[in-house]
Amino acid sequence: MISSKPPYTSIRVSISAAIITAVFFVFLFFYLGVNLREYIYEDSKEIAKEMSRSAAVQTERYFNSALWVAKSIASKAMLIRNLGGDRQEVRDVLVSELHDNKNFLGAWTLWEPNAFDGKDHLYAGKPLHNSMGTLGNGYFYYNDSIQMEIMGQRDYTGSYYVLAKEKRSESILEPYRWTYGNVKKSFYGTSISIPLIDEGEFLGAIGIDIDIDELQTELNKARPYKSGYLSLITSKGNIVSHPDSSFVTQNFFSLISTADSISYATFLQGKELTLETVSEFTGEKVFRFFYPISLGGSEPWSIMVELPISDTTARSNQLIVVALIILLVGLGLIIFLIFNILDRRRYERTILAAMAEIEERGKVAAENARNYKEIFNSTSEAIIVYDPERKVILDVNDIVLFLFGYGTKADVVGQRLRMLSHEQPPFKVDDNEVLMSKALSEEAQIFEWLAQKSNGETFWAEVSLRSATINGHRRILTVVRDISEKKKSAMELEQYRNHLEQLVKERTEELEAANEELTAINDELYDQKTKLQEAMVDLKNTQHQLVQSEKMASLGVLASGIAHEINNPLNFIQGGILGIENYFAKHFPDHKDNVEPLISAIREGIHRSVVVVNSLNHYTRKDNQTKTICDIHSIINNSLIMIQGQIKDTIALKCNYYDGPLNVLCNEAQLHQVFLNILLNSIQAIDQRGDINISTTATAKKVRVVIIDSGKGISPDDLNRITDPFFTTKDPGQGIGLGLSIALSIIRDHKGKIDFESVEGEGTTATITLPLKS
Amino acid sequence: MNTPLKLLFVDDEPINLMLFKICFGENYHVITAESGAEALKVLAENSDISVVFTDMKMPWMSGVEFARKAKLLYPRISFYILTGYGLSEPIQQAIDDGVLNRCLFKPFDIDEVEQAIADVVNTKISN
Repeated sequence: MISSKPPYTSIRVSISAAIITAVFFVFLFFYLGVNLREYIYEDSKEIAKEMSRSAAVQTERYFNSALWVAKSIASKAMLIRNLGGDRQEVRDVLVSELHDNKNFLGAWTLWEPNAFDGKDHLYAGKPLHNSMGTLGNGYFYYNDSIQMEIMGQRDYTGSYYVLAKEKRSESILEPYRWTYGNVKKSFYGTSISIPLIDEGEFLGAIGIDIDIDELQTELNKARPYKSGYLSLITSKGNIVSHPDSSFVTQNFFSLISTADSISYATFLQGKELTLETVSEFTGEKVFRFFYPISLGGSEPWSIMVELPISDTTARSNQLIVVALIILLVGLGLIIFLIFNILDRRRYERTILAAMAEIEERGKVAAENARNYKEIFNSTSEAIIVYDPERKVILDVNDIVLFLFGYGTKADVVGQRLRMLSHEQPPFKVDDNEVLMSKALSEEAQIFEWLAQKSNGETFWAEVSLRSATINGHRRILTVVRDISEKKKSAMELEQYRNHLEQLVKERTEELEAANEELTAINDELYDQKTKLQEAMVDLKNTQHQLVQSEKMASLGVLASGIAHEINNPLNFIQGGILGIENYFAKHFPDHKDNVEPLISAIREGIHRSVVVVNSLNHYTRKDNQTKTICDIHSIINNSLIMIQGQIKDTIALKCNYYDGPLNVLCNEAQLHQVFLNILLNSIQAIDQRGDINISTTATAKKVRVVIIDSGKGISPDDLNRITDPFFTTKDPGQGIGLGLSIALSIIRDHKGKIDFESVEGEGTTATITLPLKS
Repeated sequence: MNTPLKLLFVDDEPINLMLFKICFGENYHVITAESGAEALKVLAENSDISVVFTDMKMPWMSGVEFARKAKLLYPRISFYILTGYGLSEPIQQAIDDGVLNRCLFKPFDIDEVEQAIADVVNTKISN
């Protein structure tokens, strides 16, 4: 058991302590920052003051050194003069001093006429001398070497000389711009000039030229902070040096506010002054600091230092920023700490809850164990606990004993499982080990089994094998249910099912038989359909023939009608010409020879008309005409006799008859007509020489007559039309085109067939088929 | 030859009647009638007519109808059809029944007609 004592420290106290600490530190930093800012501000001011002071001292020293050098040159020059020295010696002094002081721009001396040695007239116009011959030479640095210029008339009026002459004391000039005689470059700077006086008499002046640019460079070396600067201002307020060169040569007093009387006054009095103001030069808030430079006896110049206030406070601002960063980091750390503490407290609570739950579960498990035993024995299903390794029964509940007919658990526990089984194949336990292993490795196995009671009686059981871990060991929980009743009804169902299947099978066979029958009928129907289609084609052909026949019949009716109407007028002509003939014979026998050809012509006309009309008469239906049985050979022979006269000697006629008579039921006259027509056509088709072959053959029901000629033949186009009425290729008067048409009509009346085949230039074959009358 | 043979020619065409008369009138006594009815009348009036030639197609009464009626009344007279049509069924029937001797066709062949007359004469003589 783990104790669940609460932690000693309260979470609220921890957090409050952290916050208080943080706030304390923040305020501390702010306090320090603000205070320090004040210090730094003052400090900055002091620094600025100190810097300007040092700059001023430096500048003062610079000017003073120039003054000293000038004074030294002056006293040396006076000494040379007083000792009656050479002019060149003075020049040498100038060069020498300039050489020793490289920070000066130049050094010069100019003397009043004859003031040095009274020998001006000797030197006038000589080298190193002006036209007057006075002593006046200047030396200056240019391109890192010392150059010389001759001072002349013009220099006597220069302020650097006049000032010395008039004031008779050393003076520092307001800055000005000048050039040396022989050098183009202009210089900006100032000069310190020293009067040379001997016994109250002004003799000349000595001067040092100072380059302001040089001075500016020196002063800029002492630049305070980043944006602070120094400026040199003369006593008259002229700005000598300023970082912004546009302010150089401007006057300071004209720049500053007129209200700034303090600056003005202090400036003139040559006193120090520190003030905060808005700079007229930069527009920023600045510390302005004036520091006077005293130059010999002349009025003091001033060094002005301007230092932007923002610069001085920058450091204190930095301090505040640092303070803020520390504050934020500190706060972040505190918050992290708080979260961490809270998280740990939560975790702690979870662990405590889990521990409580485990304890609870322990109690429940003990309860469950008791309940399990109770359930195991009181359930209605037979449960066997089986050890799959040792293959023995470990435990059974009371139901098992009841179901299998055993008295006590001791009868069963420790025994093999097969004592509960029928143990006849396929229900042998040892043969079904696979079920056990499946139950162990895969899932619960449920199957039916034939079980056996202690008295040897068997019953059907549903067995369920399920893997279970009991007290850390692998066991098989075997649940057995008596399903004898269920099995019995299942078997009954099975019987019903089998019966049904049998019925279905029988019905199926019947259906199959019916189907086969239907298929057969279908095939038959298909055959019939084919036959019907064939019959249809036949019908169509017949219909065509019928239409043709009907056409012919109509034509016949029409033709015979016309024939009669023509016969009557023909009768008129016949009678008329007979009368005329008789008349001429009686009354004008002398004219007989003249009239006879005319009458013959008329008679021929009548004859031909009669032939045509009589032919047309054949189309008339003669259904009831008597038909007799005749040998086809006799008809052919008769026809040949009738046309004997027309068969030329050049035509070879061959007959190849069937051996024996071939009887047909026919109208003899009509058949004669048919053969006459065909034979006449054959004869007419043969131009000069040729053959006509006639053959007869017979089948069981038919007679066939084939007539072949070697005539000129018929063109394919004409072949189709030879049986059309009035179709003819013969010359007028030779035929009217009805012969074959009538022949076809007659043969059809006799239920026969007539066919023509022909090759142009080779001959024609006519085939006549008639029904055989046996 | 004493009295010429008496013939009756029946036809609805007057031209035919005229021509028949001209052609045969010289050798025979030709009587004509324009219809069957008229012919029957003629026959009733002239008992000595031996041969009758009749057209087939006539209005109201055909040649065969006329011949059948007349034959009943005058069986000894010989009847011939002279027709522009072919040998039609009623004609054939009449020939088969012995009403008509023969059928002649238009336009008439003078020899054929003469032969027909001669046949009648010969038959009578042989009887």
